[in-house]
Amino acid sequence: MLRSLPPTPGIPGGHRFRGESRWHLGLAALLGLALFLAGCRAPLALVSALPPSASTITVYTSASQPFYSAHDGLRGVQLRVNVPDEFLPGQTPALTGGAVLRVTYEPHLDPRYPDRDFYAWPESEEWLGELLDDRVVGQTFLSLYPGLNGITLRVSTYGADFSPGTGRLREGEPAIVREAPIAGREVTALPGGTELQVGSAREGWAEVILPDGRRGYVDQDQFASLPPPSRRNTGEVVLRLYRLSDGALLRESRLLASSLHDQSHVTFSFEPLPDSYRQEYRFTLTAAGARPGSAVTFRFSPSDVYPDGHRLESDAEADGDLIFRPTYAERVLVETPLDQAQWSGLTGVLEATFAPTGPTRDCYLRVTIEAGDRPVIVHWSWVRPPGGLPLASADDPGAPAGGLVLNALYADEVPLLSVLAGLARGYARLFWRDPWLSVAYFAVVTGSLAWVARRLREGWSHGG
Amino acid sequence: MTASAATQPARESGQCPAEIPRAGLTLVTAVWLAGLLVRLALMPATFHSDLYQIYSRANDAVTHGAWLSWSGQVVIQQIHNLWFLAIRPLLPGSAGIWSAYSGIAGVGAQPEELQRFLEYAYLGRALVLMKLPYLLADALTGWLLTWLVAPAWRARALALWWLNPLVIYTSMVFGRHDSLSVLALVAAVTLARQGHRLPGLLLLGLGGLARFFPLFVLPLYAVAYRRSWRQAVALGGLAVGIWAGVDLAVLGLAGESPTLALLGRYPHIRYLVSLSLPVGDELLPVLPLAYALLLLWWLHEPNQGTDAFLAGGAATMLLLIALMPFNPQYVLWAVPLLVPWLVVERRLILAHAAQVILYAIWLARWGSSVTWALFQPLGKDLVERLPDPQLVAAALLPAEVWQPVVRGLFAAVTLWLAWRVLVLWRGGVPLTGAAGGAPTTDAPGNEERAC
Repeated sequence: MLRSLPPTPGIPGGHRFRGESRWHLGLAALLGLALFLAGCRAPLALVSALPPSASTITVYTSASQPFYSAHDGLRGVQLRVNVPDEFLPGQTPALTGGAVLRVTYEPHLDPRYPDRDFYAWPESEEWLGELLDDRVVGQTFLSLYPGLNGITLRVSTYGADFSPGTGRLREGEPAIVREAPIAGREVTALPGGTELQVGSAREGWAEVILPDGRRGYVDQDQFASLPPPSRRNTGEVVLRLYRLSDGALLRESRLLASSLHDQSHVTFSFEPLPDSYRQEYRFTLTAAGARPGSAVTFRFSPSDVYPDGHRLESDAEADGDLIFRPTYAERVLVETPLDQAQWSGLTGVLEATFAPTGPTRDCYLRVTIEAGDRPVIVHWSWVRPPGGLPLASADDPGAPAGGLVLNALYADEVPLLSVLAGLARGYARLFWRDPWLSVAYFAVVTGSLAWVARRLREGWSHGG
Repeated sequence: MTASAATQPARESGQCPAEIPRAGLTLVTAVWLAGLLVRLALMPATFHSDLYQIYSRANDAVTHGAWLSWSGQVVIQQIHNLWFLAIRPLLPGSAGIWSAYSGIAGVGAQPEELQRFLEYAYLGRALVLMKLPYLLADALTGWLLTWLVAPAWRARALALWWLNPLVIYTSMVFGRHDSLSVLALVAAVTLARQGHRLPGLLLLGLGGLARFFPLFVLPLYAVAYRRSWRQAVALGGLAVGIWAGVDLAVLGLAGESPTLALLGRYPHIRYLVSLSLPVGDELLPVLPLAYALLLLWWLHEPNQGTDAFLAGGAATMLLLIALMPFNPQYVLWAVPLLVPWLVVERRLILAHAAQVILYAIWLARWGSSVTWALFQPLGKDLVERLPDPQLVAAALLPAEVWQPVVRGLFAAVTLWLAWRVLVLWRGGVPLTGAAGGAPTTDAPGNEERAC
């Protein structure tokens, strides 16, 4: 292209002009290379190869698969499905019959926060003791997702729901007794009006002792009467959220102590923080108007179970961590019709691509397939995607414990320049920390160069 | 270009030049320096757990007296034990940096042990000292290879070995000890060429005990350097005797036969029969079949002398690399006996370059563990920010497409190289100065006189 440029007036001769242009061209190329290296994006996949299919599941309404996403810039999802090779009369020829693929964040499955298992109350954890008016407890943490909108903790009210004794179920509808509160396995059903021995409360459910000695849980709302509570808590529990870097107060959430259930999860909700991805925060808990004997308490682990933060007592660092989990506003990263995906006859995979979205690095995501006009037949494997979580099917709660056969595609930024600079610093550090190594290298390199110089001189002198 | 045209310089000379031309001397010097500087730059910067584990076992031997606790690769382990004994005083405060689990087969070094090693204050020094034997082995092998070819080709032969990416990667980046065994193989050829057949055989046997590759050329050695068939059988018997002697000695000392341990527990043994063709309800392993056919064909040809051994040996090594699944460090074995043939035909150099490129692509199959992760001494967190080549490849093409294609091309190029080597040999291209395929009554002596 340069050769076709007209000669520049005022520059004598073309030779110098071409030389300068080459120099400028070289400089521009170097600059371009530096910019490319600084912001280049690398294509990446979630897994190196799709796992072998075990069988298929039929999606009538929806099926989904959570997975751990290590990279940023999600730009596609590959799913192994069966596509029809013929269509019924009146059926629109389409790959999936109007199915939709959706990708969302899945923060509540992220195992990196201290509250890892909703149903587990391990004995290694303890209660903080009453949160009185003048006491401030807290925790620092790293938010791994955008849209932070609450903090869930475990609270105890010291028996403010009811005391152990006898309760009576409402008349009419039978009450379901479950092994664990809310979603535990069904143990039995009791007719309305039955009188029962009740023990403690958990998650707003009452522990009951059945006539045959078995234990289970019944929703407190199913009771017409329960023994009176052992105490009534007063005041408000206040959660304040601060940015860790500058201490700015960002959000505040208040709950009446009297509204809290014994041994239950409680979420302090607030307006979502859209830019909370990988931001560090501190939250504090105080109890306005709480007196001894009428205050609640929160659960904590005396040992360090959360490496990305620490517990606070009166703003000072304390041992262990509160048992907590941040909550996030639901955000759909991608929603795309599967009929527009590309079918690969080679791998039997539907590949849905879209503009790179994010942030998706170091997150748990969920891919959901919603069926359209006809069911979608999706392959599953005993090898689950990264993260090790099982698939879920809205049609079949007893779906196989494997994972959907899927892969995710990314266009992730590679900070090549900063990595290369860091590696160079690392290289220099190896020698800086070990002067003897530097001396030895200097001696060997100098000696080698001297030897080469001597050989060359010998060669020249022989050559005359 | 025909083989004869390609080898015109050799034919024109008729005999080996008495000395290297001055330009060649300068080139040799430049090659030595360039290779050395590249190696010096890489030695403290890269690390693989294999290197750490063999020295951790050496630490077990030297510190706790467990000299024969590792029965898998006993010879190579003993060499490392002795070297570790020498360098340990040069590594201050190193008592706690070694793995306690490296000697337990199936367990190996744990991540926290590797991390502890990477945090060692004198990490650069440790890595340089740990790789120093491999540097020396590479240098000696290069030097010996220059004596296996005509003087006019020494610079080229040296460059093809000393600057070869496969050699640098295996010894200096990956930090594998195969170069020690390669040195034994090349030294054995050099000794045999000078008429020292028995010391050569001893070295080859030791090399085979260290890594199994040289064992495949033992029959070729015994035949190529025989004075008579009776002597060839005797050499073969001696080799088996050395093997059995070492095996029985270790059996007596440690209570376990290294041979049986290797055959019974070493996972890489199955590589030799991995590629099989279904014959009815049986499987016919391809590598043993191809190796046996090559050996029988080679035995049928006039096969005395170094050229015959180098041709048969290079073809055997290439066959092994082409027809069995291999770990990244194995490919080094394709190089040493091939180098003397590469120098005589440019097309072979191009094919070898293609082999190197295909190998570099094939490395993506193993991902970061054999590429970026090797640079962990410069910053583990930084290296982890680089994209895993395995995942990059998967994002571009399905693994079931690119992997068979690349592996197939690699095997094809490798087998083509083996075939060309045999064609050159049978065409009578002299490598080492003797008439390669011509039967002689005393080939080693003749070769020396020829040069």
